[in-house]
Amino acid sequence: MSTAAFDDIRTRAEARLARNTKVKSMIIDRLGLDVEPSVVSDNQPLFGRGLEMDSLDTLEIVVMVNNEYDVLISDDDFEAFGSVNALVDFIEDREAAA
Amino acid sequence: MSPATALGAPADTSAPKALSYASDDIKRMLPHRWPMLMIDRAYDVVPGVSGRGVKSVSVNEPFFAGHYPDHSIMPGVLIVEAMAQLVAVVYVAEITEGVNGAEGPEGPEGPEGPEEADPSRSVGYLGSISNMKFSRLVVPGDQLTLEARLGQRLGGLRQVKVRASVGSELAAAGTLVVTTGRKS
Repeated sequence: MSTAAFDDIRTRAEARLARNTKVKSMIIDRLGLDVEPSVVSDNQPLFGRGLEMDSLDTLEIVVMVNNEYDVLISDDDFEAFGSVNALVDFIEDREAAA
Repeated sequence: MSPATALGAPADTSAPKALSYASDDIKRMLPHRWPMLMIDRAYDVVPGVSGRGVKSVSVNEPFFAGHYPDHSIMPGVLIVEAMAQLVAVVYVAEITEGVNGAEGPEGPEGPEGPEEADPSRSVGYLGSISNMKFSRLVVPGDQLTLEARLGQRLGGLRQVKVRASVGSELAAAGTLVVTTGRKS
């Protein structure tokens, strides 16, 4: 693999990591959760045993994502709430499609 | 009265009609009754979108008997209740007017089918109150002007920005989440 390609992958991975961390911090702030972003893993479920979000929290996330990224999550997009990774995937898919 | 919609909303290009509801109309739209019916009139109602309302606060309100015996102030939670009832009016108006593809009887603009279900049964519950700030005491003689602008929805939940003012003074403002529909 060329160095340029490697650097490109590394840049994108770092950007993704930064975005995941930012989304975790925003969720924690918005929902007033008593956890540090560093202990939330990227694939941890947001509902149930994960961050224990409920449906009211989900609407908070929808509003937050719309305000921050101008991306609309609708009733049919429940896969976006699978995990932090799923949410950021969803945001990036919509941004790419825009 | 200014035709502008609530909370600085941009004028919609489709110019939806703004509706007004008198007290008796509101009683057909909401299940609330004395002493918990806390909105006297609604106006500038764009069904399912936004609206304004009036709650005139009289010294005869039952809550003043205890809040407080020597210092009559309207409880903040009841200001929120008045806001939430305006939200219910805006929401029910969407059903009764049959706009925006709202659930309800099918058919073009057909008002008041005789077998239409009681629209007040579609009034749901308060789901959350956030960032609510109370900026002014509300006392007997005040007339609360309520404003609501419905925001994003997800499933049966709807976010709403609300505010209440007395004259030019802000009394309270914040964000609510309401549920649409009742548990049976």
